Amino acid sequence: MKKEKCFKDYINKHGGIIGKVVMLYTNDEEDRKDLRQEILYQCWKSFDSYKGEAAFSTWLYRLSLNTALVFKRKERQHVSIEEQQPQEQQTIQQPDTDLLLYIIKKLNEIDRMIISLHLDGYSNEEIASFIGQSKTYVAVKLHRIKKDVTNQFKKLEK
Amino acid sequence: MNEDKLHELWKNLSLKEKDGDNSLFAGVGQQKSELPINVINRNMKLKLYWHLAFIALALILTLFFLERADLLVIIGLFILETLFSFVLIRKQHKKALHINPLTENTHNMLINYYSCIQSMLRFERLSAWFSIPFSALLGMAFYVVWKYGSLVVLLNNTTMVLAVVGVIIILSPVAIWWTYWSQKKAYQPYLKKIESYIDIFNK
Repeated sequence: MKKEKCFKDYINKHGGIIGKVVMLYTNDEEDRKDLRQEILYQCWKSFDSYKGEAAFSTWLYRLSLNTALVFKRKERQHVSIEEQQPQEQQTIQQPDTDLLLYIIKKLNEIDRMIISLHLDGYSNEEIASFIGQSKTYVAVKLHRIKKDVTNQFKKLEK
Repeated sequence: MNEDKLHELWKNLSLKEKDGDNSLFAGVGQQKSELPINVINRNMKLKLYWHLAFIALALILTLFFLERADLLVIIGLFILETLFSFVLIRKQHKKALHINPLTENTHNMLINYYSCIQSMLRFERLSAWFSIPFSALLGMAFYVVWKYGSLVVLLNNTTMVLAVVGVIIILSPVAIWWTYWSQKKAYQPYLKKIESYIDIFNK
């Protein structure tokens, strides 16, 4: 009971992280619900292993992103990101945040992970340890991703 | 679009998602994971129960044939084979149960997760290839001994020889093909996806 209360408190405080990961890695409501449930379950299962060496938000972010990567979508008709592309006339009214989300979701899953960590304020070194690659790898990747996102943004804003 | 604008947009986007659907909290400890590693492991657990049920059935069967040493040998072989398979599956199940790669760094997690699923599927295949034909042969031997009193009758009966050969050359490949096909159908696209993520890191 104590574990459950503690877990709920932590998740309530940092629940936005799960929401963000779910938003980045799913395209329809059913998947959203399934992934959120899966992340919550995996967090609960691994909660005992959280010893507080890193901030809970970092631990939760890592677990959520890892779960999203290995999550297997149920076999049914899925909405692809291309289908969610805004119509040309609607593009002007499309809020910038939605455009950004659309552009980020068009990146591959690993790039999506790197850019979201970067935009959430993690340093290159932290991202490198997060994904298990070198700092140089992250720097090169980030440079390319940002260039790509900026170009896409300009293209869609026109 | 500069870096600051990107950060600002991201912040706004994050605020939108601040309040997640926490109704899914209810009974989180009782929920089941749908990650393939957990699904395969649950199937393994189910197989363990089936093995126990078969062993129990075989033990009950011995009570009916206490006077027939020849049949008891065959039943004994079946129990040994099932027990052997039970021990191996249990070992694999326990191993997978204690693996939790999701808290590792992403690259290691993907490699460990991938190899864990691969080894579980390989084990499942080997187990099916071995136990299905072996159990079928034991079943046939049991029937022959029970009906004719000895396995020697097999040598003089072409139909029975053909049936045994059929089990060996038809059932074994069918078992191999079936396990391979069902695994391919269920997991190949998924495993390819994980492989592609690992490739991105290795580039």
